[in-house]
Amino acid sequence: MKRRKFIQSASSLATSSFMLGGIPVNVLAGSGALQRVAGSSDTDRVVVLIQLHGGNDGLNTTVPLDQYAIYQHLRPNIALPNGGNRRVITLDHTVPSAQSLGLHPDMADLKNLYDHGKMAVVQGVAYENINGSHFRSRDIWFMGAGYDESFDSGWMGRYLDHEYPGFPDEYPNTSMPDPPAIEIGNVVSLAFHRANGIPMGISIQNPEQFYNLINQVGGLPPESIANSYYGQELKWIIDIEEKSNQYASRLSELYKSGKNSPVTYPELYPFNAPAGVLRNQLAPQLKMVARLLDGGCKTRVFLVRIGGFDTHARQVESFDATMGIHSALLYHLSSAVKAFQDDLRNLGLEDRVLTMTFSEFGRRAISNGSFGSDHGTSAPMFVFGKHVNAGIFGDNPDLSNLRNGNLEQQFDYRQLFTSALTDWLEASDSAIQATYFNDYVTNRVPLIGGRVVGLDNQFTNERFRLNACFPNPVQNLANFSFFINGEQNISLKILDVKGREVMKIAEGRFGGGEHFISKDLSQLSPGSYVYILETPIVNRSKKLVKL
Amino acid sequence: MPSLLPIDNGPLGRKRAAHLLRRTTFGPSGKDIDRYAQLNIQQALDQLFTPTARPLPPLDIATGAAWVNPNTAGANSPEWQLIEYTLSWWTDRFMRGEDRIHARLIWYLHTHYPIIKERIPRSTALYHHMMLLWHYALGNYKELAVKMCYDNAMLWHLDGHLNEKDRPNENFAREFFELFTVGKGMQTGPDNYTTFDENDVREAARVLTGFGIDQSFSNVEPETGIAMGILKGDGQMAQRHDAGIKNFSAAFGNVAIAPPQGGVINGVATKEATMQELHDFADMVFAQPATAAFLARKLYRFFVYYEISDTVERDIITPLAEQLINSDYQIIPILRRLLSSRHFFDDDNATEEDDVTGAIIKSPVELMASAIHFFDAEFPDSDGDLTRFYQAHAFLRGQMQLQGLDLFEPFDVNGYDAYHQMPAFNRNWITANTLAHRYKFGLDIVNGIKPMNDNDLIKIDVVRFVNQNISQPEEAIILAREIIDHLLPNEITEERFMYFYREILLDTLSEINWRFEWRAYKQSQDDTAVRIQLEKFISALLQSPEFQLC
Repeated sequence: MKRRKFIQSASSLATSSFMLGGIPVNVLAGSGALQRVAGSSDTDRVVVLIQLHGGNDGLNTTVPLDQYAIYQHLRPNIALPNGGNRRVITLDHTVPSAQSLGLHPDMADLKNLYDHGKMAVVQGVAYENINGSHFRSRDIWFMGAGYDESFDSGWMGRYLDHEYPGFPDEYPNTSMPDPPAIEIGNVVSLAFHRANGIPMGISIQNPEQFYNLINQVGGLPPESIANSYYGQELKWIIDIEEKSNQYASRLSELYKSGKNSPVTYPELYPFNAPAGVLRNQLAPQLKMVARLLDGGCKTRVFLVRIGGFDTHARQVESFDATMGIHSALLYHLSSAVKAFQDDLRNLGLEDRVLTMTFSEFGRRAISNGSFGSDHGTSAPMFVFGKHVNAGIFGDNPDLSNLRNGNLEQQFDYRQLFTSALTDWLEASDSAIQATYFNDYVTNRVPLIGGRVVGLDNQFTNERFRLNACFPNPVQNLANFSFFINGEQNISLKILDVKGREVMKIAEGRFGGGEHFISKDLSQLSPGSYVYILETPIVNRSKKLVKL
Repeated sequence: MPSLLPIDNGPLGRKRAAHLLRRTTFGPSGKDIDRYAQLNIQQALDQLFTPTARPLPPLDIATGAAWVNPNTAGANSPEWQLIEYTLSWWTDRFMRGEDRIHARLIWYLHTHYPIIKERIPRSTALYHHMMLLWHYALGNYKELAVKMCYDNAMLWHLDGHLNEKDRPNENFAREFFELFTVGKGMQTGPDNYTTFDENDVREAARVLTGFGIDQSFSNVEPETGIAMGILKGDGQMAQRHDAGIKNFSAAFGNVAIAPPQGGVINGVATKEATMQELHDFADMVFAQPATAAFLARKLYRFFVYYEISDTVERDIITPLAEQLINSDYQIIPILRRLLSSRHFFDDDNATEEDDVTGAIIKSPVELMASAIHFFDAEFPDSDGDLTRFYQAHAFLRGQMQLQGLDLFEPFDVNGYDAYHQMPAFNRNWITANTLAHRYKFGLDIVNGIKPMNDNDLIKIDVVRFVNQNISQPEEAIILAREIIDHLLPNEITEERFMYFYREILLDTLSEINWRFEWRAYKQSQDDTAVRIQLEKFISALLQSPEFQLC
């Protein structure tokens, strides 16, 4: 497609050059230009939003372990088991029982991220009087609105419109060469719409193919446009065509120069589920985001999507509640996010990216007769990243206090998005004002606040402890104890000063929590030793003296 | 102010005829436009609303015969293949260029009742669903809504077949309110959406309990000839229906619905009583002004313009909604009134700014069908080689998907974004990706589409088209004018015309050169030179922003 003639000529005429911090900056004429330089924050941080499309069943994602019997009673045909091979995974053995939750058995990868201090769970997220319609509720999440409000724009659109004034006419430019937002797929959601004009984001599937395609087609668009309804639609098409042309080659270059690390992104669900949900839709999208970022993409917000969560029927298989559609979807989410996070770490991008999940609503606490669940209210949200304030926010939903079979809300979704904007993207007060989120600044959920500083990972240290053995120095019987946050294969052994294993104290699968082991060390020659606890998450060691 | 009064009764003329046909068909040919231009509005509408004949069912390649009628021998092809055939059969009529509104209304009804084929395992169910749309497109939209409550495909699509006494499934009930009838008003409090509330959803689900899928497709209703779902149970009893009283909110006037006197035996409702409940329920829902207004707005957005101003709401939507209730949801009078109105033809005020002509972005179906029909593209039909016929349609469906329309597979149960997603509505068809693919189709159909690397499946023969449709092809300016005036949805500036005419068609050479080339072709029958220029010209028009609109 070709660019409009008058834009081509206008840019050479109306451009002035000046120096900013020693770097020449070309600024197109227009009121927004200087404002832009002054207004936008210079962080290179990125938010990746994962939409769980259809209304995710929060209660089967994070099972309230403190109320397991009630949980099972409310949804006997779909309740996940708390025993056996595929039982729920206790997320955290250090939290009070009111917060103790079990992840779906297919979310082991998220458990791993959590133990590494890279995940937060926020319980009971919704908004007041949450709407039972997929469409209206999704619009509300995208609009950043309350139940009784309606905007013609989305919260991300308003935020980015403030950060990049003069869009689209003055973009791309040197300070923002890329689309402010990218949605993977074929649509641009309401989230990225502004009050007027084309959205702040563009949607793409494969940048390379797109570039090749766009270079084959189109012609010159008209230069003058009637002031009429017809003219407005024409302008919409022409503006999008122009942005496509401008961004296509850039995105294609970024994509070509970018790469993924050797991480294996998941492709298929390894267990039983209907054919339609076996393939991981999310992984290739996240893989592309990582690759674009590695290529140098400066886009601020990515929106990816995984569908199929509207599980009115056959959410689980009748013969096994841990199998079926919902299990496959949660596996996809969990495994794709883990691969993405590992990829970012390997690519050196982990410091820049915050990832959040959201869904239009949760599902009803009481299941229906079709091995499924109907539309509900609040649900948990997951937040991922190296700088996330890891842990669990809020308590398990109170299953004895349902309203029409539904869960009560604990947090408004805007309390989370406001934190993403202010604490992560460093949005200014005026940006928050423009996003209409000013009411949520003071009570925002503190999603950011990394306790992972360098190699010292306080969050993990609290959850994987090797206690001092006693007595120490020891003559015969030594008492060892350690704490692990969840069932795993561990080994506890004694090494000599040269690092050779001299004695095994324990090996095998241990449950989450504190473990005590006594061992007779009388066979050991006197001297200094190290005892080491090895877990899949972390290794910890301490010194021991044998008398 | 926006007026529903009819326009004058003189001949429509080209501009009005073209506007009417672009909005009510899948794109007219130049000849269609010229023919309608001679008619006055009432004559034009008489023609437009003439029903089309009941279509013959789709054919299986393996047997060369139909398979959808119950009690006929089974088809040889696997079910997934038959579903593909059924979709092809359904879209084929859109590509054939009928000059009637029937096909466009079928498309409208599909956007109103979008169903997802992945949830429907049987092609025959899909076929009967499509026949329901065909049967009621020009009929009573309330009756259609009743049928949708126990249409086999819909029972699958929104889990209605799982909705039973003591184990309700609300999926269909909710969407029946929100997507199909009263729509969702502003939320006024917990669980209350003005037009209905959460309790209404539960009560409606109870009314709708007990229906099941009839996989033998033998429950053919005499008045339509269409196979429907059944009520589960033996003999006269609707065993799985909830026979209790269902209480609706103030939004429905606190109506209670229950089986009629004598309709319950030993706590079980009879089938007759259950059907009576269903009809009572439809009467209650369709008596609401909200239902009529919701439908009127959808029709307005589909046929006129996607933004509804306060004055349009007051002067167009409200009177049409009243008429819908008064006519008991017979659709023809309402549409005739709207499509003959001064508002539709922008004859209600002097300002051009609110001219709706050309202000709707075509769906991918309309985009491709309008190109195929206008230029009379070669396109295999089902009377010839069935394999090629289905290949051509498979290609078109692939194109639709690339252009953002996953036919019978919308991402959501509310269907394709263009028909409901505020604020952009039909603008949702246009994204970086989809626009490029729309243009690419304009390029490919001129070059010839041959997905199987053999003969062209779909191709515009530009020389044949010009020979058959243009009054004086050797005059380049007449040729360009006649094509552009009939093809593009609104007038273009002289400058823009000169771009297509001089830069593309003439390649900046003179019109004398064209005359020379045309005559040379006529003498030698070697059309190489004129074909190259015509292909560039028509391809450029199909890849223009203007052609995206209707």
